[in-house]
Amino acid sequence: MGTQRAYLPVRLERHWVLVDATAVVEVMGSLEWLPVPQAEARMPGVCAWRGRALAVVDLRRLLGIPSPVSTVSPRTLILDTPSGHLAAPISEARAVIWLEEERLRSVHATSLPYMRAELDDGEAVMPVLDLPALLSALTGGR
Amino acid sequence: MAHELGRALASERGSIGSDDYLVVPSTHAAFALQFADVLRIGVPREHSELPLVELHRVLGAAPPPEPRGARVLLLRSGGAEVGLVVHGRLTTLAARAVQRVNLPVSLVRSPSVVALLLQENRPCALVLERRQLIRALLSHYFSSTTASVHKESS
Repeated sequence: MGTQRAYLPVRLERHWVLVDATAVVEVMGSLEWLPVPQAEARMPGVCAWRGRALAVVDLRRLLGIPSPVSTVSPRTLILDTPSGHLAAPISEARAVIWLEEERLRSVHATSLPYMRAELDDGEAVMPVLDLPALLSALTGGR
Repeated sequence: MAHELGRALASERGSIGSDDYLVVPSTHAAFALQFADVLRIGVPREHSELPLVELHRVLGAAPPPEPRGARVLLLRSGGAEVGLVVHGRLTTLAARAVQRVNLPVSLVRSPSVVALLLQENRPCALVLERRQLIRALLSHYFSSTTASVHKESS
């Protein structure tokens, strides 16, 4: 049996993606954030988490998923990244699943950017988010 | 301090410390300035000789849907004064009632916003930094003045 890794299925509007669960510190419930004037559209604001201000990352915009503008998110991922903690509003999350890496295949069915692999469970194809690549694009190597 | 609101705030200063906040509503978010940064509060017609710029223009935010009840927050810029025009109901926030947390500036870069105020762990206002705000205000004022001079001369 191969090595298993934990993934969090996350929905962004109508798209489901898998996120490396080791990068997820917490899945928050409804969370309000404040837009910061003249901030970059991909990091449009800040929210409060454990008495700190976290940058809000707009995953939908980064992935090119159209969505209505809202400063209240039904669910928010708190991500632990080399740049610090980030808050990523999402539509929904499900229970963590464990997968052997052999079950993942290279990307060919999804058109979303920043995906490193896909899971085809016979019913649907779920891409795996390449978080390091996405963060690198976001921070521009800062 | 000719204006009624200015007098009201002056009378409150007995209980409001210089580190407390004056909160300005906007279509974008609520913005807060520390009382120590605001010299006086007036109305635009009384300060027409000063550089006056609306807050939403300085911040690049959407204008208020029904701009009315304009006030001017007079800020000291070196030896002179500049005026920030704001709309809506001004309120106060005691520093002891809020938690101030700095923005993660390596990720969220905004010319004038430096911190977030939390009230009962919820974000309630973005803190404007006086010097950066004045720099942005003057930059906007002179660029719009230059544009209008060019328009008149052409």
